[in-house]
Amino acid sequence: MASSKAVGLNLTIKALTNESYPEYCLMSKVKHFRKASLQKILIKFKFTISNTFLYSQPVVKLRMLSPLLHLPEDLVTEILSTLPVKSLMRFKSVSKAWYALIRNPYFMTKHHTFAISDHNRNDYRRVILERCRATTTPRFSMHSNDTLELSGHVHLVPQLFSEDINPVFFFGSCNGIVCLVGIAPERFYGAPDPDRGWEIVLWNPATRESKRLPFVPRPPRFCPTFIDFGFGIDLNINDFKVVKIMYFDSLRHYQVEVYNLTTDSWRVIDASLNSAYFMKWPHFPSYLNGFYYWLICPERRDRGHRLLLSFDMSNEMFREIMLPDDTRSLVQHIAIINDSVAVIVPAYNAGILAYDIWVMNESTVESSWTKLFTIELPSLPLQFRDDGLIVLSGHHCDPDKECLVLFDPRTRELKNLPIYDDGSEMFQLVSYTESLVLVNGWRNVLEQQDTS
Amino acid sequence: MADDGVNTKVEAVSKATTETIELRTEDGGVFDVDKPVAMEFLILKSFYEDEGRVFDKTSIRLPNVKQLELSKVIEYCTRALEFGAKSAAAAGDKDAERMVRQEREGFEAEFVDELSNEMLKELILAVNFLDIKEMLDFLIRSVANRIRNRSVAYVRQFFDIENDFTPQEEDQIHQENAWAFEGVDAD
Repeated sequence: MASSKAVGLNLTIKALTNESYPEYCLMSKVKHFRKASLQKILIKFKFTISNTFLYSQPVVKLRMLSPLLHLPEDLVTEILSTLPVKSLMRFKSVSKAWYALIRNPYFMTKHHTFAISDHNRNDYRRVILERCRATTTPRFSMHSNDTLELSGHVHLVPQLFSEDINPVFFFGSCNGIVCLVGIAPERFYGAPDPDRGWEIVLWNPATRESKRLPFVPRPPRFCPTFIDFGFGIDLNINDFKVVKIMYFDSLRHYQVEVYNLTTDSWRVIDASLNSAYFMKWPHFPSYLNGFYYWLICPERRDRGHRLLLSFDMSNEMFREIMLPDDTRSLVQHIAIINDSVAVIVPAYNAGILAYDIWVMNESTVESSWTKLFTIELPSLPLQFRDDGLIVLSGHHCDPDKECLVLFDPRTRELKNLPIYDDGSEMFQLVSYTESLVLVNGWRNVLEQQDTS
Repeated sequence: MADDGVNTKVEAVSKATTETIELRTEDGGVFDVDKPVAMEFLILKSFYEDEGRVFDKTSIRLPNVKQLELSKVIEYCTRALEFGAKSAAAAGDKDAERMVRQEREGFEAEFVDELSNEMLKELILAVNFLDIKEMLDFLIRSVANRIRNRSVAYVRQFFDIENDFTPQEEDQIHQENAWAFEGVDAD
């Protein structure tokens, strides 16, 4: 009834029954062994451990491995869509099928949907911190979203930009792609082609892919007085776009160009921007739901009168939006807070600086605003997090040192966020969601689909 | 008043004996499963709902499921229902909710820890067949956790996948993403 099989290494396997699904047990002279090592040996002989109480029972029960223990493709896809980006970048080399899957736009969308769902959001959210000191090139470090735990440093120059670029600015972060603009001052003061003094980079920090946008050939003496940028997604065609707005004082004229990632090219658009506009650079990346927003003074000479200017990424048109009453001369910055457009208005309560936060209520024709809360601290917010907490720079926590502080507007609680202090004078934070989105090789993906 | 006391006692007793369904696995196992647990198996639930019948004692054969898997499935689903009830009872009380959540996480961690890779895969196939969404999500997450920091070789063995890259192709991918291969658990 019972038969034995010698496996070597002093292990013997004995069949317990003769039925169609026999159980086996392991007869071993070795009392203690690691389950993982034992499993490895057994798999070679097509057995697996069927009970796991190795130490409490004198007998280890085994089963034969089913020869076709293959998980169906849809379940494998489900499993992969929940993995971090780093794992997937490594698993591209598992097989050709996995390589194609991980670069498949449908899979990328599935992965991204999982990453931004409420339960998982924090796991995929990261923060890039920029530290500035007047005398040195800015340094960038990567952090976790909730505790700002340092995970590494990144050298944007020379990894993403040319050597002479300093400083670098963030203009947006969408679906895991961050838009950066770097300036090489020496390239436009007195240089023949000043437009080349600006380098624009699209970067996926999670996959570490980056792309420098192409330069546009310019006529001689093409020298804009002022340049502004925007970055976002055209939701109709699912394409990333960069907007470059240039003002020529001598011509009293705005020229607006739009870059499409899928075509990797720029084109001039007929924006009819009022030449009387005076535009501000966005302090926070201000893209939301297919629109980019800037703060402007509609009359260049009247800096007290301010408006919001929105750009529709799909139909590529600009629109003016009124700011809350009584704040029009005071609004300092635009920010995106929990899927709403907000403005930050400095206010003085009993002589102490505070910041009022107003949020725009969505409506198609008229826009109305609500004052959401006031930050009764003289610290400009650095980041408005998904969980409602606000990261502030913290002059007030220690007069000698710069630190970061977590503020809860509902409970007014303050919590120190320890970060490595190197005497930096200024911080800027940009958060992004880790994603697989390709920055390069859009055509490659299509080519692969054609030839397969 | 005395009559009422007797009546309520009888009612309580009959509520205590829940309806069970007999499930038979392909390798000869027989399980008496409480109906609420069995109804978590959508494959059974749709059978009941289609037929519109009420069974006192029913025996259903499950062709793709073996007894070891089914016992694990019953264990998980029974506990999941219990946690669901506890969670509902604790609704509104943040501390109680947190305790239930931690208790559940502890149970799930222990449950998964005892499963070998092969057992995990067998369970996924069984649960996929029985159509138990909550448990399938849990098993999928468990596999993802198990493989997320493992090597390419480990993952190939886990999913029984042949490497169809040439050594040069594999080298190239490795070079392009060298950073992704750092800090990986040893095999």
